[in-house]
Parts: sequence; structure tokens; C-alpha cells
Amino acid sequence: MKKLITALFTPFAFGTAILLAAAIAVAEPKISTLRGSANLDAEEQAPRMGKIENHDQKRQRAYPQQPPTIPHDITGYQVDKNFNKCLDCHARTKADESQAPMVSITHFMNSEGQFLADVTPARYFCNQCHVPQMDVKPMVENQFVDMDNLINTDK
Amino acid sequence: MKLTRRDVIKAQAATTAAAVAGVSMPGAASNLITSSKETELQWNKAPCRFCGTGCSVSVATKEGKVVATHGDTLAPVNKGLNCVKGYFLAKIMYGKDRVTQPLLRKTNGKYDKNGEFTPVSWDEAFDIMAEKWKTTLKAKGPEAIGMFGSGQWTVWEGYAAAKLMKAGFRSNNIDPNARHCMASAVGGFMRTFGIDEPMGCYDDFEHADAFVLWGSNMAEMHPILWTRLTDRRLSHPHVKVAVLSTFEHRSFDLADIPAIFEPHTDLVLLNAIANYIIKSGKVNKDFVNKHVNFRKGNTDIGYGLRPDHPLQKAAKNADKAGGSVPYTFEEYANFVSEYTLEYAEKMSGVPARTIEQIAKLYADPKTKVMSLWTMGTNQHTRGVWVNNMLYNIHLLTGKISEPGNSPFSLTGQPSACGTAREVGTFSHRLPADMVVKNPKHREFAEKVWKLPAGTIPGKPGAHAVLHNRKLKDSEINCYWVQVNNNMQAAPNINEEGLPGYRNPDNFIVVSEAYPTVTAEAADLILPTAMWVEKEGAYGNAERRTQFWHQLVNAPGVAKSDMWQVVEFSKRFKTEDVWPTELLDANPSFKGKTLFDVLYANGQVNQFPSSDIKEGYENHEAEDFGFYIQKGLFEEYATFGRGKAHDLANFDTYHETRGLRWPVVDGKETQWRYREGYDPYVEEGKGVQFYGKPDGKAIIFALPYEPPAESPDEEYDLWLSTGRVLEHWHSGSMTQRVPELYKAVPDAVCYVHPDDAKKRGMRRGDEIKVISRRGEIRTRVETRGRNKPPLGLIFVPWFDASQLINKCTLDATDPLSKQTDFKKCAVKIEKV
Amino acid sequence: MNKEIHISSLIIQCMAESFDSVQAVLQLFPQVEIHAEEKIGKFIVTLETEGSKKMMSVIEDINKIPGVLNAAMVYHEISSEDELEEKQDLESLPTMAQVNKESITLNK
Repeated sequence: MKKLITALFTPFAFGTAILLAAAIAVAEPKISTLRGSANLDAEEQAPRMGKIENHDQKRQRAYPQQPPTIPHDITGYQVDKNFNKCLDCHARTKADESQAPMVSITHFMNSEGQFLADVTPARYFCNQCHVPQMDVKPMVENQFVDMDNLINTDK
Repeated sequence: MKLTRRDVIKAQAATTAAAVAGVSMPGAASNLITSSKETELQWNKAPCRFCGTGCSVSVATKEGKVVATHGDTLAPVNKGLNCVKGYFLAKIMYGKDRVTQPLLRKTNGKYDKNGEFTPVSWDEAFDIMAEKWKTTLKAKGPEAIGMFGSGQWTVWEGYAAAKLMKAGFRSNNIDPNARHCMASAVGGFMRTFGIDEPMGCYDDFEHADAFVLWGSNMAEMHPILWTRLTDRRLSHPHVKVAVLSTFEHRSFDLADIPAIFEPHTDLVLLNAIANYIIKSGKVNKDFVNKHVNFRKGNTDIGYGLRPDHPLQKAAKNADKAGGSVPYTFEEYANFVSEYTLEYAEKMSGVPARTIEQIAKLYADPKTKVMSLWTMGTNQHTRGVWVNNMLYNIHLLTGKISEPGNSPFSLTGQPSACGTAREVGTFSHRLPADMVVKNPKHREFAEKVWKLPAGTIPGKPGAHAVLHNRKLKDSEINCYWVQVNNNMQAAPNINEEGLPGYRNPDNFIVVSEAYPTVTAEAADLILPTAMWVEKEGAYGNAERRTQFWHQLVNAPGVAKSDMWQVVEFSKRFKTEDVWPTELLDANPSFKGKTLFDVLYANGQVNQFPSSDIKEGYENHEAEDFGFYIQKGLFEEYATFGRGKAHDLANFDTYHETRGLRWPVVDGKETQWRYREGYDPYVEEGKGVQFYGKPDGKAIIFALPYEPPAESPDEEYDLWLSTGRVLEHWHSGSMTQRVPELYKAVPDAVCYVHPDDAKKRGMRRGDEIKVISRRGEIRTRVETRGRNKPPLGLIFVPWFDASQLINKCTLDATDPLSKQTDFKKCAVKIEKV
Repeated sequence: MNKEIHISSLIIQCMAESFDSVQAVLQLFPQVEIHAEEKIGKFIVTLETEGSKKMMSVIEDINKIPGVLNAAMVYHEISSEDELEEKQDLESLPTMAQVNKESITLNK
């Protein structure tokens, strides 16, 4: 399994790294956070394939403009030029029945700013922006600050 | 004061729109916002940090942090949209493990190749670098130092670096990672047209009647251009989409004509289409007579492997790969006549009927065709040939340089065109398509740079793959890598890359924002400012140059790549690096630093910091005391003005969503070589390929030749590598965005279910992918988004824990020196 | 049940010479509120409508005003009528992120 390494990349993060002298092709100490624990010339076990989070719970967005991630499994969904399975539930005419969020109205506007009766073809392939999430822990913590917190710390 | 929720939402909605439109909100209309400073965000534009599409992004900052991003509604490229990566740009700079200070390998307080990374000051970092560089230059000369840059360099970063290497250190051993990505496209352009970059532009998407994807998976790799193509296809039922690839992927979801071909047989298919056009009488004879010459290219040109490799030794024209002889139309017609539809079917596995359908799109004079390609074509041991052959079919039919008729070479990096190519950061190039080999070009560059004649060496330097070989062989000993992750990206890591970096004779410097595998293999890591932490400029695939301001400060003491290059130049006197003869002949250069000679030359330093637009920081200008970005850009722009590469002036770009060069009299150019669109075409010519002296493009007769390595009994599968939608390149930015990481956390091996079954494997099983050069451990995926045919597997390369380039072969196109990452032979075994 | 109210913002671009007439027509729409304008031909407006269909028809109507080149939506939020009437101290203004958490569907 990949190791979760969150050590801040500051002075003493390497204090514990093992020192390996002489060997030409060894690049220790290990610092590449996304590689896990294997040296560059070694291989470790590949992580198991994760499960897709499939709880249908809306997730908080990092900022209002972020496209929402998909809170359910979409394996096997047909989305091609003939059919779009996502719209089976998310289309305006289906949202009441399915209780799924309706496709945002911005998606009905074509590239000239005209509203169409249906989702614009330019936004037809949903998974270019909306992606499911696997049930895994990120390897590196992200310190992006929610504008909400920035405003609160002002006070 | 009490407000309703309604007021708040409306105010928010209005300020967001105002920010996007660049309209300032008058006090009266926005009294809510002005009385509520705390919810106010600053919005600015910046091009996206990822691929070559060049989407413009609106970036919101507050208190020195980027807090939101969204698609720029005023941008002609993306019209308010982003792909999933673009929507998460706000997070790429905030991985917890940012490199915030220089780190040098040390033992007991002293530099040691096998020491631990220890924080040092910039001074100490540059001291040891300068010492290593000077020692090496003295002992072995300029060919023993090298620099590896990037199509992610901003325009002025690439320009400053190329100038330091080519004129300062007098070494042409500078090459960008664009060599892995665009070199074959460049080779194709130069060979066919004599001038680089596409003639068409993205407006072609709204004019074409047919789209043909040659080995490109735009749905994942160029999602925003794919939305434009999708829009066109779904809104106009007559439009046809043909998708050709060696395996089925997401772009096939829109394909009217899908085709899976045997790797490398694109060479056959293209000749078969040319033959079909000729045999069916659909050659545009008038166009061909007026605007085209024919030539036959040299064959049996080898595979860019080390000279002692048996394949290299066997190749007849390995040293004359670029040669060609004049040919006639009749000879060409005869040459391609053996490429019948039946022969093409036999070779490629694509049914003759399908090939004919595609050929008809090109042959029908009423169908406007856009051909699109990227890595499938360029990462190819005959990549330049495939590019040439794509132009062949557009030239035979005259379907070029007009709206909708467009052979379009896409790019993978945000400034592969704007920096790597246009600025001339390749080992053989100078700015504006000039080359070091040409004495007139060198003379021109020396004049612009106000340097003594003979400063720039005339011998092309080492290219990317050769860098790693020379590092391994101790021929390059000082090496500086900027803005790329070459230990993950370059082929054959085990045999070439890693031994080269860890060779005790070498000193490796890596400028990075994050601790990548390349940084891990380095001896010194320099903390680097990224994206909107500096003022920048990128040039996208449709020749559009886009600028952005520095919007936030970099963490710790991180500095931009340009700052690092320019600051390092202060450590060298001309006497340290230039030969005595050169200095004796030009005594006024004696005693000066490279900084004086290259950057404080009266041009680069001519604009005062007060020219910087009010309200924006600029950490480089603050340190150097002048508006260095403007100075570098304006000096660079003199290379292209009046030479069909005209750029507008610096300030204009900060005000626009980019302009497509050549920009003449304030007007951008959409379609080159066509009268009425391109001001460089002489009146009355109609079409003029002015990159060639006689104004004619060249159709090359080129055959099919086999790939460098094909599956055999032991290594029985093709390996193709590539990207996924959610991650960009080596994943060093996108893997640090939690939402993108969680979307696709690990690389997997896409296998045909029957290939898996035959080997007793099931989905999710751990396997080894093994080539003659190395192996990785990964998991079997039989049902994912990619559906390889029998006999081929696909492994993406974004995952640092599964370095698939341990398996790939460092065979390159002998013309472009670009690696073929799409083909080598492997086997898979259960762990 | 509470009515579903859609609030959105638009950038409207028009010919500079049509600025005055476009402004006059915009003021006739009860759903439209002008927040900013530039004489060269730009308006920043917000829309408030019941339901998405109405919103789309208003935007279509705006696009049909002589002189209007383009009306592009930038922001969109759906809320309930009750929520919109909630009074809030300026000091405890909901931030964008809070608004977002509670809203049903947002821009993009």
C-alpha cells in the first residue's frame, strides 16, 4: 500500500531518512511524496483497486464555481452520441421523479449565450467535468484555504 | 443594517459577473459589497496551467491566496468552460509538501552526492552550482553542461534560459521536454512548409463537416476542444467524426467511423488514403500544380537508438535520415499505388470499407475536413513521416488554410508552441524558427542580443534522450532541470535516466515546486514559484499568446525559474566562460558578468518597474530593479516581427484574451498562407506557402517501415502509455488535488478481458508489466474507460509509484529525436 | 411548498450606439435589476424568476432586444422563497461558501 506522507517539506522532514552511501543508482533519501515508500529503482505492492463512494450524499464544494463531484457509482453508464444515461435522472423533466439535482441551467446555454430547450451539446459529455470519487485517502494533504475560513479569521 | 438573503445572493451574483466582464461596480449599485469588504474577491484572468488548449481561467484571490477559479466567459478558446482539471486549478499550488527552500544533499555539513537533503540559502545553493559549472566548463568545455527545460516555461523563462545557455555558456545542450511531445510535429511543419505551427485555428471546429482523429483521444486529453467538436457534431447531423487509434477510448463515444489499427500502420493507412484520392480522380490538380512540389524521402533511417544497437548498425540511412530527392506527381502516384485498400486492411486490421469511408471524407471536395492529432502521431519512430503524410492528403485535395479545412497538430503543454518552439529552446534552434547551424541566423541573433560575432556555437547540442545517455556516459556533468519531471517522463528510466542522474561524476539541479521523483534523483533542489505566483505568458496550439499577472506570492523563498536563471548569471564573468580569442577581439566585454552582458544590456532592462500595472506584485522586478518580463519579451519579439512571427507589444497582451500571431497592424491571423486572411501572402497569389523559397509546400513519398520493437513469443504484448483526463502529465500538480486524486488515485493496466483470462488474471489482480528494460507492479483493469484490443495493453504514466517508463524503449524518430512512448514489447505476469 | 426562486447574473453586451435604448428596455423587465453598466455597451444585471423556464425565456427576450449582441449567464443559484426573506445582520453575512452549502444547484 502507498503510505500517506504528510510531512511538511520543511527543514527537518528528512532527519529520519536513511543514509545509503556508495550505490550509484540509489537516490535515497526518499522524498517523493507521491511515490510511497519504494526507492526509485525498486517496486512495491500496487495498491488494491478502491471502491467508488456510492452514498448519494452531496459533498461540500471547495468554492461556488467548482463542478460538483458525483456521489454515486457510474460504472457501465452509457454516455455516447446515441444516449446519455446521466440525463435519465438529472434532466429537467426527470429531476422531480428521480429526486436527483437538475442539470444547472447554465448548461442549457449554448456558446453564443442563447438558451436551448435542452442541455447544450457543448456540455453533453458530463464526465469531462463531473467525476466520481474513490473511497481512498489523498496521499498529500492540500492546504487550500476555503474563502469561508479566510473571512472568519479576519474577525 | 439588515439585509435579506436575496440581497446577498444578488450582490454576489453581480460581482462575479462584473469581475468576469472586467466591469467595475459603481458605489451605488454595489453598496452592499463596498460595505461588506470581507466578502469581496479579486478576479483576474490567467491561462490554464495544464494542456496546450490554452483555456482562459478567471482566478479569484483573497488575502494572498487563490480561493476560486472558473472558466473565463470572455475567452474565445473555452467560452466559459473548463475541464475537470481546470475547475480545480485553485488547489494546485497548495499541496502541503511544497518545496519552500533550496535543498542540497549534504553529509557533515558538506555537499555529498549521497548525502541527505539539507536546507540551504539561495547563496549557498548558487555557490555550489557555480563552483560545479565553472570546474566543468574549465575541464571539459561547454558541451559538458546541459539544461532541460519545458513547454511549461513561460515565454520569458524559456527565453532567458536559452539566452544563458546558447549565448552565455555558449552551449547548445539545452532542450525542452517538448522534445518528448512536439518534436515530430515541428519536424513535419518544417519539412513540409518550412515554417512551424498550424496554419488553421480553433475556429475550424465550427466550420468543418468532418473530423478525423489520428491516434488522438481528445475526449480526455483536450476536453474543451472536444466540447467544441461535440457541439458541432451534435448540432449538425451531417457532420461525421472518424476516430482512429490502436485501442478504444472515450473519444469513440462520439465516433461515426471507429477504427482500431495495428500499431505503426498509420503509415499504411495514410498512403492508402492518398492512393484512393488519386485513383478516384479527386486530386485538386489546380491546387497541386500551383502550390505543391513532390519529393521522395530517404528510407531505412534507423530508430534513434545508441549507435552500437544492432538496429542502428543495420540502418542504411541512419546518418542521412532527413535526405530527400525531387519527385514528380506521376512517380508519387506510382509510389503509393501499392497501398491498396486491401493491402491496408491486411496490414492494419481496419476493414477496407472503413478505410474507404475515411478516404471519402478527404476525397469529397464538398466535405471540409479537420484532421487532429497529438501524441499518437508524434511519439512515433516515424513521427515526422506521419506528420508529412497527413499534410500530403490535405495538400492533394487542397483542403488546407481555409475555415474548416485544417490539418491540426494539437499540443500537450501550455506553452509547447509559445515557449519551447517559438522561443527556440531546442538544442538546434534559435527564436522565430531560426537554427544554430545557419551562420546567418546566428549572426542575426548575435546582433539582436548585442553580442560579439561568434558567440553562439554553430553545432546543434544534445537532444532530450541524448542528455540522459550523456549523463550516464559522464559526457554531461552539470545538469539543470526546470519545470518538468523527467525521471517520470523520459523513456527507459532504469537503463538511462536514473544511472545518469546518480552517476557520481554528475551534479544535478532540479527546480521544482514539489518533491517529485526527479527532485529525489537530484543533488540540489531549487524551490520554485508556479503559475500565478509569477507574471507569465503562454502560447497555445492555435498560435495564441496569453499573459497573466502575478496574483499571489510563492511560499517560503521560492522564486520563478526566470529569476533563478538570471540570478545565477551574476555568478559568472565573461572570462569564466568565454574563450580568450573572443574576449581579445571584443575587449569591451571583459570583466563583465553574464548578467551584464545578457540581461542588463540596455534592452532587457529598459523598462522601469513603474511600468508594472498598479496593484500587482512582481517578485522578479522587485529583485532586479526593472520590469524584466517586459524587457525580455520585447527583445524576444524583435526576432519575429516582419518575419511572419509578429507579436503585438507587451502591454496589449495583458488587456486581451490572447492574440494569434502573426499580429500585423494590431490584427491577429486566423488562417495562414491564404490571401485575405494572412497579410504575408502576396497579392494575387491566393495561397502561398511562404516558408519555402518558391512558395510551394512539399508532398513527401514515404513508405511503411516496421517499428523498433514488436511483440514476439516472450514479450507478447504491445505496451502503449498515455494520460487520463483527471491528471495532467506526471500528476505532480493534479495528484495533490484531493478531488482529482480521489477520481483516479492509481495507474492500472488496461487489458482485453480475453488476454487477462488467458493468463489466469481477473480484474483487480496484482500483476507485473515486464519489458526487456524494467518492470512495474500494477493492477489489472478489464472494464475501464479504455478497451484495448487483443495483444495490447495501456498503462497511464501519471502515477509516481508506478513508473511505467521503466518499461518503455528509448527509440526515437531519427528526424525529430522524439521518443515512441506508444510502442514497445512487454509481457504481464501475476505477482 | 415553498416556491423555487432562481437568481442569476448576466453579462449583457450591446452595440455602444444602442446603449440608451437597451438600458430603457431592460428597466421594463420586472425580473431584471441592473447592477453596473458601461457606455461602451456592457451591463451587469441580476435576474430573479420563479422556475427555470421563466429565467430562460427572460434571457431569450433580452437577447432579442435590438442592439443586444449577447447575454451570457455567469452565476446561477436556486433558493426557496422563505430563505430569501431571511433577514441577516451585515456582521453575520453568509459567505459564498455558506450560501453554497445550502443552495440546491449552483453555477456549473
